[in-house]
Amino acid sequence: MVRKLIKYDFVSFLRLLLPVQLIVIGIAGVNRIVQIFEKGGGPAYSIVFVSSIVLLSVACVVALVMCFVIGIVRFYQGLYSKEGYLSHTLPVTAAQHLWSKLIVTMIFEIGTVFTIFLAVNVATIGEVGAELYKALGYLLGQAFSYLHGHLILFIVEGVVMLLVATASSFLRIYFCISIGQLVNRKKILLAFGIYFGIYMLGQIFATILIILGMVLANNEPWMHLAESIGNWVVAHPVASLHTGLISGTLITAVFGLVYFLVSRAIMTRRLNLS
Amino acid sequence: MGWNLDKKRPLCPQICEQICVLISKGELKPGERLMSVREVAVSASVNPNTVQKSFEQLEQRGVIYSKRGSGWYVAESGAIAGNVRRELIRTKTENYLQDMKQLGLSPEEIQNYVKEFLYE
Amino acid sequence: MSEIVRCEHVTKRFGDKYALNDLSLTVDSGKIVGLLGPNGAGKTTMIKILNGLLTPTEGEVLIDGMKPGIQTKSMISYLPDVEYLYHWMTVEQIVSLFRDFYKDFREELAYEMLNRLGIERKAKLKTLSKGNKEKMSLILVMSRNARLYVLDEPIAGVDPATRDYIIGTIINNYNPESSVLISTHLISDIESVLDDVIFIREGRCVLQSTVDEIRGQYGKSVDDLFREVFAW
Repeated sequence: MVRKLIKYDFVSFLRLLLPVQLIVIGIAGVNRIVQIFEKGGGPAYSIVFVSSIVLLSVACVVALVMCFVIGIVRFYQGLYSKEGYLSHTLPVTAAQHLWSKLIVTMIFEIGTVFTIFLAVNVATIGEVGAELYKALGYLLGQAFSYLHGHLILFIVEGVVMLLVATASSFLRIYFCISIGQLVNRKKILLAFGIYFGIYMLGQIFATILIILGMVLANNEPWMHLAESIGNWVVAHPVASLHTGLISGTLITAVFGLVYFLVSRAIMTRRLNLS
Repeated sequence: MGWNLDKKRPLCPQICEQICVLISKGELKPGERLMSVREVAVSASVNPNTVQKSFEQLEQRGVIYSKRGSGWYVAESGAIAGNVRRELIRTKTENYLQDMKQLGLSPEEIQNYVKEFLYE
Repeated sequence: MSEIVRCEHVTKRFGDKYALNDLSLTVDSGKIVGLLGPNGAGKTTMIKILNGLLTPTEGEVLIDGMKPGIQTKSMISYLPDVEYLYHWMTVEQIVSLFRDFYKDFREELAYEMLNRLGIERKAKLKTLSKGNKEKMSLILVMSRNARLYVLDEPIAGVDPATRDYIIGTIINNYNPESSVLISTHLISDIESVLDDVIFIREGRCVLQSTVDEIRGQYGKSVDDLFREVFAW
């Protein structure tokens, strides 16, 4: 069933996002063509070139923002607007709806990043591109000589962390929208309220944690522990970075899971479609 | 087939009556296949269950009969359908006469009115 | 007689307003049942609870003995009173969506009816006229071979020809062993197709009866009785 849902959700995203992606690639192409006139272009060339670079950057940002916004809008529209009358009367579980929306959103997030990567490549076809790859290769080579196999692990861990963080932040938004629909009026306002509430709570919690950490670190018996942790980090930077990445990913994943479960419970037991 | 149903009375007997009338007027011939339950339901905008019930009642009275899997047919003898029609004619005439008497018309006057309207 | 729907003491509150107030009713298998009441009586709320789009504040709703959930959703074919189809899809896409998700969907029947209306497969839903959109929704809903059809105000605001089309489509395509629950406030248009009626007012059930009982005992049409009951 999730596969079927994904099929239709994918079409609904593609319809809105494909044009944006094509425009980004198109602008990159234009930028590359402009570069042909570099020699003997004079000040007019500079103006055109710089503005096409700015345009490309703006287009990339717009593509990212659009992808983010569409991910939220399609969730809301598909499940909590009039479309919800159809979505929620399909013989499909709430979990399947959530998975479908999340997976399709992630596909398009990755797709947008890939589009931007492609756009950069298009804009730099030729000498500039070759230089860029040479520089990148050099950097990676350097890093590899220090870290060896750990470099690959770090890259994998970093990518996984990014993916988990993105998924988790969408799940947080699903959670807020789902809470918002519990009330009969001003559903979206409540969703925003919850979102900022969570943000504030996170900030307050982090601040308390930092202050607490500082206070504890200067007092017995915790001082010892803090010191030994500090020593360990300095002595084993690679291991501590691994620990940081993995534990960060796990914590984010746990939050995502909680958002998922609560959203699912609301959709199954407390649907309030108006 | 035009159906003329009075929503103030149960629909089932009305459907029975109207089919009897069709048979005794000769619009439905003995042995002829009737419309299906669904067709009657759609053309009269009534519930198929009601039509089904009407057909079953007509069958009990021997006006129509069913063949397994092929539908409903008009019985060879139209006697009962004729009786039903005569009964309808009788009650409707009685009702009319009752109304006219209440309006103070004598039997002769009623006759004259009827002739006048018929040959006008 | 077996029941397909049983609602017991269902109450639904929105804030301090009662949309449904201790409502109990049943729908028997194989019957066409009218859920009748003036605007705002709670008809749509009741129907949304049957379909799991709202949860009752109190009381219990059972469909074939089960609470609303995946299994009941695959048994019920529901026509909401809003334009609920994914408007950005083509006719072909929405038909394939119904085919993909509902095992009881009869695709050929749907296309046959759509062809008769001259609705093209490649047409986008949002380009269809309002009347065709409504007919399209009804066709999709009636093309399922469901245990229970729930139709929310199917004939509200349509012209007489469309109304006849809608009633004809319902009669022609529902399975006689299944049940149909039709909500409406336009009773005279639809009463001749009903077996049973449920009158609701201010969220309460004021009368549940067979249509024959009303005609036989009161010598009245359902519409007349309705006007009397709701005159106050």
